[in-house]
Amino acid sequence: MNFKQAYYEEPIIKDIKSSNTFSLSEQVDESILPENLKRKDLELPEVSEYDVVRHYTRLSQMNYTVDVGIYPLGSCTMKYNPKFADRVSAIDGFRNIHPFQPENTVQGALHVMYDLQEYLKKISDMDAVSLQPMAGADGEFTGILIVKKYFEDKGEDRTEIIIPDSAHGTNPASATMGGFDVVEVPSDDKGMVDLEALRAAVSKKTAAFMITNPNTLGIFEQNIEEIAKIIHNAGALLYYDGANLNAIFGITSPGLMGFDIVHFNLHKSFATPHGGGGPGAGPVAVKSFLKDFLPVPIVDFDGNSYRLNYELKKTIGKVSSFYGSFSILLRAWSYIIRNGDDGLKNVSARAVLNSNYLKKKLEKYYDIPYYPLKKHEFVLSTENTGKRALDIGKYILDNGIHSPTVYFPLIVKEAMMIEPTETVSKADLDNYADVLIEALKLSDEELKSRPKNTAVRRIDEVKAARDLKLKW
Amino acid sequence: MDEISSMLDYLGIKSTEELFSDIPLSVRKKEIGIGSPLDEHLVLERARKYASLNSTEMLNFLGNGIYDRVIPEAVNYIISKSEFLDSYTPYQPEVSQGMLQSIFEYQSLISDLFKMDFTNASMYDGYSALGEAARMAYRINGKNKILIPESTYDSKLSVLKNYVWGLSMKIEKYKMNEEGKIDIDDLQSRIDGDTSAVVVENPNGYGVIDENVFRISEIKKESLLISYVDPISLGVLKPPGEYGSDIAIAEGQQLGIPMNFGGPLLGIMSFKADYVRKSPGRLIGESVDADGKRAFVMTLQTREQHIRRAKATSNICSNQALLTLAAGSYLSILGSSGLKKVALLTIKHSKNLAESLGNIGIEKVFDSISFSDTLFRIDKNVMLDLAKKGILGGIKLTSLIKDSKYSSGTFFTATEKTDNEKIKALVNALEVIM
Repeated sequence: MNFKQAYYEEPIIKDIKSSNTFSLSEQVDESILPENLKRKDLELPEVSEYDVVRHYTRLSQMNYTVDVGIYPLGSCTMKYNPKFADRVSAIDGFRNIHPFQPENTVQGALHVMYDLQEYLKKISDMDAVSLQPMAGADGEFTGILIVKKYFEDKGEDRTEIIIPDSAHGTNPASATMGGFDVVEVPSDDKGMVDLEALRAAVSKKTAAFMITNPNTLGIFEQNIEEIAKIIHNAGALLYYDGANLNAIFGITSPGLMGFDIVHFNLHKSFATPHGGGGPGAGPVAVKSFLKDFLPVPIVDFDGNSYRLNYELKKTIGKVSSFYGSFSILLRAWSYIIRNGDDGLKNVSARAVLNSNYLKKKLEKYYDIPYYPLKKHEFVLSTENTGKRALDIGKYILDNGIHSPTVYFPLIVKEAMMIEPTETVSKADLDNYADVLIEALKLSDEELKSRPKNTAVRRIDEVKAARDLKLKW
Repeated sequence: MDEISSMLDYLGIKSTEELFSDIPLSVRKKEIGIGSPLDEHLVLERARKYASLNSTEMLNFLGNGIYDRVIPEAVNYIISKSEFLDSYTPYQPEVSQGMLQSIFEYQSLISDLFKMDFTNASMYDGYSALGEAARMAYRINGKNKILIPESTYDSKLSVLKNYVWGLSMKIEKYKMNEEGKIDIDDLQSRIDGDTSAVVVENPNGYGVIDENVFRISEIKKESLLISYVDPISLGVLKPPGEYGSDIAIAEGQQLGIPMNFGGPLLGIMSFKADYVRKSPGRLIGESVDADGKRAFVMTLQTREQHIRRAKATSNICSNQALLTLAAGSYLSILGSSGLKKVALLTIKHSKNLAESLGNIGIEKVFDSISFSDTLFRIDKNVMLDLAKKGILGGIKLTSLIKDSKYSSGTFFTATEKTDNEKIKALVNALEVIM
């Protein structure tokens, strides 16, 4: 595809000169406020609405989106999001309700939340759900707090969380936020958790083991039952990072694998546009023995009406202001009922098919380490090609395709992490493979000159950090 | 041959089932149990049916964190543009200049509004921003005590407790005086060598505009000042940067984001430049590209979880980028004059509300100026009776602060939308109920 991204010499909003057109007709006198409380100067831009809209429209044209082309980067599931989900969240009856409204005036909203709790329980084979956490990492933090409170309640002093070296960076960060020490276990030569290393790491100090399955290498941890046994025998809890859940819908589940706590990334696994980084939603599910520790409220149904239940005996309390990212919950709910059992299973099947197909197309050219059968994503290394992953990534941009995640996971040198998702066609996969193979034919010099079809060319990141300019 | 068959063929397998052969049979799932797929139009039908069970046509006097404010239609239009709505975290800045510039502008607009040096673009909501601010204060000075006003809501305190639990920080409440403002003597007596930060709120949990916050920098000694403010109020009130705040935080929902039953929200966090390397979340910086053109890029990422892992300044990954766009475009459309007008109208309407309720014998708890939430003396719980009359309002203070001494305290909230006609309807309804 011939790709050329728009570029405007777009000024910052403060430098656009026009007159403010916002108005509210009611008059008000400034003397209503005593002088000692007043601010003296306010320096926001004074721009017309039409200039603001034009400004952001031009900016939007300098931004790549999943609606323009594929976004096959690993670990963050950038699939096409069906438009009906946006429509659902935009319905006035959902957008314009206040969290403190009496429960009898928000029964529809509570109904949706209750149903979503039930669906998430079914998908994960867990027993209870709190929808409150605002993002995946917030769900992790919530899970860690549940672990902490559980052992405090039992009177056990457990200070360590074990995490594989292939884990998402959020895992160790969340564990540390909860006050735990992080113990890292290495992967074996197949890219799975090294069981001997795990056995050696586990002790009376172990509070939990955090793991995603399939892992960030796109590999299913086949020893998961053995892992669960090792962790549970030590009296510790098994935590499931739900970032890669979309690879196993309907095939297996965290509950069946023996996990005690799960967080979902609703914005990745189901439907939510990624918003340039968010918002997301990260509900947490637990087995019944941990239900009382969940953040409150959760939604209950007595056969007649829905209510917010704050009465969980050992609750960790709250992790955010109200009931979570409600408009994201709505999108997930609508996506789940739209797909049903068969649809969700197809999501996984196609995501895994696409990943393995692309992997096979590339394996003659790039080193693709570890166990051969991948799930929804895989990691290749550019080391054998003599090229840098970063440079190839920039060349990909020139072809109208978003680059993979580069230099992650940390255990693969010159890593490129690729997750096509189920919404990429064979034609797009073929084209993507061609671009990745073509990149190898270019000289280092040529690759370093890329990208050139994008709004701007390679950016001086060192200067950005050295001459820190975070404000106009 | 269809595309799936030809892909299976290429892989040399008969069905996608074979791609799951590595999953042990002992953990295989039989069925999910959600049911059959639902056609798109039926999903929308079901959604509309449930939405119709929520009352949105009622007069709204609810607040205490989430406010029903005027949102220019253009804000929603801008955040609905798919190039913003469905783009990813700008890890590839060359194709993400639109999002990056919009976040840079948000950082700048908020920094100007707050009169602080820098602003991040990542906090989930005001409450978690407070938690992150407390953690940041600990990273800065390593001290263990944090002081908060007794008007802090239980839910906010609960979030804060969870954020500092792993640090074993102590949270201590200081008193408010009879005007509903900071009791300076009480606060001063609690500040010691182990105090990491003093948290002040303006307007505070009682809805009161509290000029005593302007005096805290004189008494805080070595501790840090964390100010929790209402961003709309800064259209007319002194900004936190002017009274010595080290970290300033807020809930940003009011800046162009619908109520959405309380989520998603936007946590705002600004701070002094000295503390930037201790700050959580993402920061966008200005630089140049290979041709010397101005360009924006995520910066100081070495503080973040994907690089620093256990040593990161926060675990933030997915965050509130799209909502920073809403806030940025909202502030750009309103400008200084618009924001000032909205803030002044809010004060005017709060005053009108208090006078009108005063006329029927319902008095304010505090003889102070309130911003939008005003606390009245009403013993009865009026919320459900009002709802029957199509009015939302009347949250008891004790449902927000369980052990508050103001047991009769009941909130009614005004915004720029709360005109005399709406206030009259509330007065009429209350006259019947009381």
